[in-house]
Amino acid sequence: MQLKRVLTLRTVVATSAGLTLASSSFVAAVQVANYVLGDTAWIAILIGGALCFLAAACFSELNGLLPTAAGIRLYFSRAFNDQVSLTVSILYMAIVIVGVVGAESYVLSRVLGEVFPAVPPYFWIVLLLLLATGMNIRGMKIAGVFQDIITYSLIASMFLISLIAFNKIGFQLNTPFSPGGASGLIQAVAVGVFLFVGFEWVTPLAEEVTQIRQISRGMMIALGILSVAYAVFTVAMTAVVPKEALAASAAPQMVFARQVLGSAGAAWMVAVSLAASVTTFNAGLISVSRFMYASAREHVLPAVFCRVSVRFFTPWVSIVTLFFVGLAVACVTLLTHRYLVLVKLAAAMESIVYALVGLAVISLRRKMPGQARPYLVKGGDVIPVSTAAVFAVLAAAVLAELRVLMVLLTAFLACLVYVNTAVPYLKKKYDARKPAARRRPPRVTEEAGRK
Amino acid sequence: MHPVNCDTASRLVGRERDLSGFDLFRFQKPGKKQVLATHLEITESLTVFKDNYNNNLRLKVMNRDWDRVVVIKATDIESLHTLTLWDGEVSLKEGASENPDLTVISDSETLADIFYGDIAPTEPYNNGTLRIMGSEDDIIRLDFISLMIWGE
Repeated sequence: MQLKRVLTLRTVVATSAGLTLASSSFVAAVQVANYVLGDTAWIAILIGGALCFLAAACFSELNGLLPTAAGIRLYFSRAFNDQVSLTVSILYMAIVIVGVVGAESYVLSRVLGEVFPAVPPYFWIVLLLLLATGMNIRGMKIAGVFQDIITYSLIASMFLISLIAFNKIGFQLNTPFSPGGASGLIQAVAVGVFLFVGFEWVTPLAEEVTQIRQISRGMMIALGILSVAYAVFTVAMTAVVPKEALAASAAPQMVFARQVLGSAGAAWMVAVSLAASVTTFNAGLISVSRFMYASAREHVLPAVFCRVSVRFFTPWVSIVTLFFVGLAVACVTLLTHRYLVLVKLAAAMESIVYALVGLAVISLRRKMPGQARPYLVKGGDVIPVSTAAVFAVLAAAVLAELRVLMVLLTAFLACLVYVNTAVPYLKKKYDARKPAARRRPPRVTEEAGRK
Repeated sequence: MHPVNCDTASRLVGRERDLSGFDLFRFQKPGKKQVLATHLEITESLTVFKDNYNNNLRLKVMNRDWDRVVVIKATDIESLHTLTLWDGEVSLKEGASENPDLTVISDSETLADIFYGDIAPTEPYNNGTLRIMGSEDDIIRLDFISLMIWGE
């Protein structure tokens, strides 16, 4: 038996890279550049990418062992326990939606604000959210060939505009190997992790490929391409525009593109930013709304979230709820201008999840030693231990900023309280509603049959 | 990502290799003797599922453009079925089909319970007892159908 529809490696790479490419990535890239000296941002970005390779290897082993769209929810449940899994999954989803929607909508509204200064940024945010919500309710997904075209065009654009910039200024690297102190480099790498946020969200496609190793290969190739693309683009940005000017803008890619190609460059970058944001928004809302639906199905969230649109077969209550949450987050970000906190928050959460993934690999090797692993990370526990240790250090580096730490801690406590109080209540309520008798007829055993 | 209720009180009692060589896990409640559903029971559960689906006009209208072939395979007994959705109607036949859109693989007991609507598919899916091969959208659609037939 062969499945009718299978995904190619090209699409797996495009999906992994496409989920990662966002308008806010350019802001994070400038942050990375600011932590290190001269043109050395590329070192921090390549180190960040290389470290994500470690996490990708761990994800590959877990995905081969437990191929499921449930992802970390199942991995952590088996490796640790259901409570840990639920708390981390809810926290991760909440931070993803807050981080992605908040930072992304802010950056995009600034990008569009440069082209249409008369239109208030709120307008763009509402429009973007409405567009993503509409697409989600109608069940429209950017996938397959369309995803391939968008992702590869975005990457090609990044390389092309960087090369034009290098050529224009006759670029030469100045002190390319002196990033400065270790603390600055660690901070740069920690924020640099944000550039790769979401590469592992391709694992739900495990059931759509012919060979599970395609997912691992796809993630690795995507990380490789992204590392080089981000490194080249960041060096180009900082070579053309002073770092201070880039850091002062919420849309540094626009400042850079305008400097290189004038208004044509700005128009090009608006198209790049729009494509990056729409794919990120769409994928983020799809993942989180499906997570809410599934959580409601297992009585972890109120049952209202598993209401499905009769016309489009999509969980419309979850999607509409996310629209209002997104709107609130975006408005708060626009009022406070604290979008960098969201970038750092997402980077910290991602690092924590990667550290836990390393620990999950070690734990499951102990708990399920004889289980078939289509992908086994070589070298014993060295890579999983390194993944856990390195990402724990990176998370700590980001959380050194008190504001980020406080927000994450508050969110964690809220999730913990929810899992320990609301979830048992919802499950109890469901048990009380459940029909007492099973629909399946009782089994007639041979013994009973003889009587 | 769609998660599930992982029953930590259950004990891993065995595993089987599915079609593509992956392991599926079987869990058992403490103190309960392991039982297997028969091929006939799975057939009956699928018949009940099919009848409930075909009696639901709303579902038929909703799925009239969703033509899919779903193979259901038990891992612990010899049992293969094919559910075919065509023009909103569902038909059932015993045996496998070439090139299915979705393949539902689990132990016989879980399959019978799911198609009788005694358990939601999300629960065994997230604890590794149930594996569904196919596109994520199709997997979710199948769960929607189960939800609309059996409720929560």
